[in-house]
Amino acid sequence: MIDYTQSLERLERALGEHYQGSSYILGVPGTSLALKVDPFYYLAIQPGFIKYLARWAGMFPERAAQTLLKTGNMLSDAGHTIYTTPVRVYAEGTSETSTVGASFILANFIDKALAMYGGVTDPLPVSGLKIVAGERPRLDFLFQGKTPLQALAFGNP
Amino acid sequence: MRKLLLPLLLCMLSGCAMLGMEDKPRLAVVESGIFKNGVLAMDTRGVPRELGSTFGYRFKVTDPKAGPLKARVVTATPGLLEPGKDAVQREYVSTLTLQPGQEYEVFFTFNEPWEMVTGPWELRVETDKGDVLTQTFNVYEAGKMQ
Repeated sequence: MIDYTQSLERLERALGEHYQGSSYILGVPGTSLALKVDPFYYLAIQPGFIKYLARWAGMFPERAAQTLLKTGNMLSDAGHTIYTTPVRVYAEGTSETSTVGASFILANFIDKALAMYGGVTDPLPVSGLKIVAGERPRLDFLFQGKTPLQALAFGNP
Repeated sequence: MRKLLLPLLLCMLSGCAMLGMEDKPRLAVVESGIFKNGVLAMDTRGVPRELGSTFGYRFKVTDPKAGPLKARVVTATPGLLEPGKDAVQREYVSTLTLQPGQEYEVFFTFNEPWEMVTGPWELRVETDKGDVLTQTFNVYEAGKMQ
């Protein structure tokens, strides 16, 4: 029986402590594991995000993913099984797009982790990563009944 | 004076033991081997060289009075050469804060063909209080008996 509250606290601590030493893990297009795309969500690059977060927390990736899903901090489909989907993205100011495996993490989870364990006082700003506008309908299945992605998350290179 | 000093020394030593300062291991392996989906599939130190294999161990901070422990997790490989890089990767190191009573997992998963190097893989946990927990896994060519 997994204690998800305890596991979530470990993930928060792991993320916050690693951010303190390596702030590039968040917010830098082309480098980071997760990037804030609007005030409510980070786009996490998979499978790297779960793989590294799990390693830093000393837990298997399956447990890390389940913890984020069961606590509602990572979006999934209605069946709670699919949480990663390929999506085309680009860095603001560039014209090159790339397809990444993406999950959406509540900004509250990451910002709280940074505030509690990362020595960060204010939430991180929205990053320069944009989702190609045409991808929006394909992401709808992850946002059923949830706050939708804001317009500033999308763009055209 | 000497008669007073000896009982005092003994008292101080027993006091140290009562405070948990004696040399007692604070970390213990719970289970180790090959894991599938986070569950121990085989209790073994021999790991076939297969893509997707996850090996390692689950351990626990046994001393409830230990308090949070800062730890380094070291994965000592037989030497990995990532395509496009010049240097051989002998170690991966990450840090971790351990809480008493909780279980932690130290593992490696063969995600890439270039990672699947045969030989000894040591997975080691070192705390800032001097505790060391280590397990060595022997990765062998699948199909060959080890």
